[in-house]
Amino acid sequence: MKNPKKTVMVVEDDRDISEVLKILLEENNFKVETVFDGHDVEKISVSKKPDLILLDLWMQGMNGIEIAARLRKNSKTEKIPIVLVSASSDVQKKATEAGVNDFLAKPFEIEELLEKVNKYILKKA
Amino acid sequence: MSNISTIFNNPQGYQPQLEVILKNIADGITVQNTQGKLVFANNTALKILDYPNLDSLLKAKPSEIIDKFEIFDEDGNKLNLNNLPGRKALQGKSESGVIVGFRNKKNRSEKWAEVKATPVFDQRGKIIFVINVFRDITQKRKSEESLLELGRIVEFSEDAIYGIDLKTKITNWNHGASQLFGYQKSEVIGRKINILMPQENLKETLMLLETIQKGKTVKKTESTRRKKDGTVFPVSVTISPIHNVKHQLIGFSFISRDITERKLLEARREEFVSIASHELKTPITTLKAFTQILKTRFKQIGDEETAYFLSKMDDEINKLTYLINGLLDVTKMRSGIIELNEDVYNFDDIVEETIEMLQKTSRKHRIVKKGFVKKYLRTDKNRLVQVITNLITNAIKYSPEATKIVIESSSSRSEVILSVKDFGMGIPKNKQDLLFERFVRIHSERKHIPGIGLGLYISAEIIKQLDGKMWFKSKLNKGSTFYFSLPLRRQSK
Repeated sequence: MKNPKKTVMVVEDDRDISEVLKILLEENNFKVETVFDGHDVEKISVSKKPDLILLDLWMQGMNGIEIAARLRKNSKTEKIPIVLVSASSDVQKKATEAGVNDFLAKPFEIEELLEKVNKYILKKA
Repeated sequence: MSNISTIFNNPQGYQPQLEVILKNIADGITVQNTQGKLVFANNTALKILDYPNLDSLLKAKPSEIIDKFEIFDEDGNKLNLNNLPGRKALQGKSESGVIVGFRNKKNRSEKWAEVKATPVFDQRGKIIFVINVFRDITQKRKSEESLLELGRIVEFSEDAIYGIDLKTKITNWNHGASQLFGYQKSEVIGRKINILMPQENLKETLMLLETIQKGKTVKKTESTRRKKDGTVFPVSVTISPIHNVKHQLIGFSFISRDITERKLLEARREEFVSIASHELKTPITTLKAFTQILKTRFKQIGDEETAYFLSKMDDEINKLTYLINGLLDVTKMRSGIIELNEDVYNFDDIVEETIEMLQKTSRKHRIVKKGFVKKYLRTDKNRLVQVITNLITNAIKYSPEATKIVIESSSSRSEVILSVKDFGMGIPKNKQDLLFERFVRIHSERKHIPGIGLGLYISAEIIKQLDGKMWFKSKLNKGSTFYFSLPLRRQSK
């Protein structure tokens, strides 16, 4: 019997990175929801109930840390694991305080990405 | 036994004793006759007038003696010789407390004296001679002058310099302080320092004063201050205790410098770093991800050669990322905005993991590990890995003919030490001092060694931020050993 596919929500406003993340995750049997605007993350998280959110730090309108803090305040999204994807390494403290579970530095190795995604999804399953 | 009163009561009988006393008194004493000629001088007077002995002085004409010197009044202007106290006394006027400066024309040495000249009259009221007493005030005058000069330096310094007493009332206020804060001296003297700072800084400042009272020094701290017009601005402040002559604490001095400009620059630099890292790394992220997807696909269809090309491409992307990270790190370090993510780690584990990772990419060199410290310490793991990686990759890079790198860890009660030893080209003596500077490449003549000279600078800065030390030993054509130490207990920041 096959498990239903797990959903990873990719929050990234750069279309190219979003596209390549989608390809990578789909090739590894995940269902992917892409979100391009920080303001939509909370709403879509509530409706699509992703198993994990890959969250870009540098989002237009609202940055990743603000988004994470919001998700943690909403009872419907507070438990969704969040991996912050970021080009700068200096935000870890702030991000952890905002409720981010883990970090992935840009640029990343595919193995690293899959390892982090699997870690939180398997933990949940 | 004779005592002083017997000498003075019967001067004729004790002439020799009286002379001995006069000769050795600390003030200079001369006696002039009515023609102005010297008839007596004691030892101090000889010294001031620069004569080797009494005979030579007494033989000299008054004009000769005067001619040896340039003579000044109290304010340093040339003195009219008719105003010399001795000459005035010869006309019957007693003079005292006159400050006279003598500059010896021959050796340019300068002496200052406080002169008292007294005419001595006979019973008929006729002057018989004049006694001059010189007190040497050269030292006092010099220290007064240097104090005055220091006062002027302080007064016209660009920095705001002010003093407060133990009740935090302002006692001194320089020109720089007026410029910076907008208060004139008369407006602030006697008022509490509260007027100079926002409420939240007052508590912090009072705490600083308390630590200084306990004997600690506060070098440079950053704080904020408030101007007369209400503007709040950032400053760098140095606070020092003020003691009186009995070494009792009587107050504090503040030296404050406006750092608004610097703060703006730092903010701009910080913004640049975050924009640059985002803008540079976004295309690289996509490029790298697609390269890896392609590599996997070519592997799946069995095209090993194309897969190999793509892993070469991936390696180059990694090098580019490393360079970008280096430049960004340096920019961050220059503005002091590097942020540490600290936690407690097993030191051996960090070293082992780093070696394992690097051994995978090094075909020629075997990385040999010696020693375990079995210690935990509070540190930033990623940054520490970055340092160890830098040292090992340098060791490999600069020992292309060797086959081995030796890593050794050791510890004491208070610190852990790691060393990375290579058997390569070593560092020439004349370049050793430059090693931890930015953009310095030791063997720049060897074009095939890649790098832009940032690695060691960054590593040393990281170790410094982790409160440790970095150093090295090196012998040309034998190899180098780089060391760093980290304290086991760090003051939390």
